[in-house]
Amino acid sequence: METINPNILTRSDEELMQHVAERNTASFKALYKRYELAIFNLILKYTGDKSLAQDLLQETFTRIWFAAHSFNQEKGRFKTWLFTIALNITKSEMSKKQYSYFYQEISEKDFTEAGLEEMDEKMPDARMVNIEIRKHVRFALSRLEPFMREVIILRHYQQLKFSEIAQITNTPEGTLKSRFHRAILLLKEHLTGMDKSYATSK
Amino acid sequence: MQHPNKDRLIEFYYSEANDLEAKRVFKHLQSCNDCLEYLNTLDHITGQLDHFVNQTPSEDTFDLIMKDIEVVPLKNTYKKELFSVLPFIRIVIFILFVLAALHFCQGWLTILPLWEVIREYRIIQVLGSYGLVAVVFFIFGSFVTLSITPVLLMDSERLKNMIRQVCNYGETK
Ligand SMILES: [Zn+2]
Repeated sequence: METINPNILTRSDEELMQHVAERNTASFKALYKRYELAIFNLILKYTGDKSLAQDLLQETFTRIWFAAHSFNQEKGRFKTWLFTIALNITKSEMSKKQYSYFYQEISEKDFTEAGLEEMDEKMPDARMVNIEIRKHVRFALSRLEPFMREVIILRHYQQLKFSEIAQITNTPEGTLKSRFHRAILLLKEHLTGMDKSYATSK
Repeated sequence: MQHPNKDRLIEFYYSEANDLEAKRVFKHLQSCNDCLEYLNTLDHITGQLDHFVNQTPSEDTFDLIMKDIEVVPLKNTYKKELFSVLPFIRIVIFILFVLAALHFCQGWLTILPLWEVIREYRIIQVLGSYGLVAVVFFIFGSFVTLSITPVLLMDSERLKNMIRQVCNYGETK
């Protein structure tokens, strides 16, 4: 893989976007590297489908490239713009194929592989417990309405402020907070009983 | 007891409350088990969510994107070309082409019997055969341009709409 000039890494997103608009692929790569994890995991948590997340990550950045000239710094930060595009692409794909069902049919392999390898050798029991918890969490997330899942993902996993989420989703902050509250109550409902089951297995 | 509403508690939990509000909630929590319980629930549930850890996309994703956008990877385009002769060459070729076309067409025009009739008019005498062909070219060119302009405009409108839809700040569906 090509290395990225360290000079580029210190530039702000918006500066890099200016160069991307001038068709600078080094700046484009720097932006990609900065956000690939965030966007990939945003889509993964929204859809529950790793290969779909892979495809939509690719599509998101392809669109960023082609729409670079239309990015307007005065309208908002690059990050907000990027998340808006990623979320719009994901939502439109979900509505096209009705992925709400699909979420629950993910193979276990998808969510057992990451971060569990080292645990495997030391504590095989702990690994099993972790896999169980993950399964529950994914199931609980899949049960949420997309607009609730969205706010949980953006606030909790992506650590965005409610004001930023309001911009991305074009929804008033108050509505987002009440969605968040309802989502937490539903998650609590779906995750209840899970604690006990894995406490006894420890 | 006046409880802060859930929005305030959520803001407090994520450190999004302003100082005054945070102090107020903090003070309230010293004496309210219900609100404290809510925050504990929030903490517990989000703690569970953290088990769904981040994963990494495959390493060739960026190369696939580059393939999609059909550019050579890492071609540095910082240095813009300030001067290029290519546009000038194109203009010269275009002018030569037009002159050749004019010459060819006026050759045909002057051997037509029609020419003998219209050359008597004063305006044709002023224009000459080249001038007449140039005027015909101009009218024909304008006609073609005007006919295709709406099509071109329509197409760019569609393009603009597509870009707007993808890059809106959450404004359109
Ligand atoms: Zn209270």
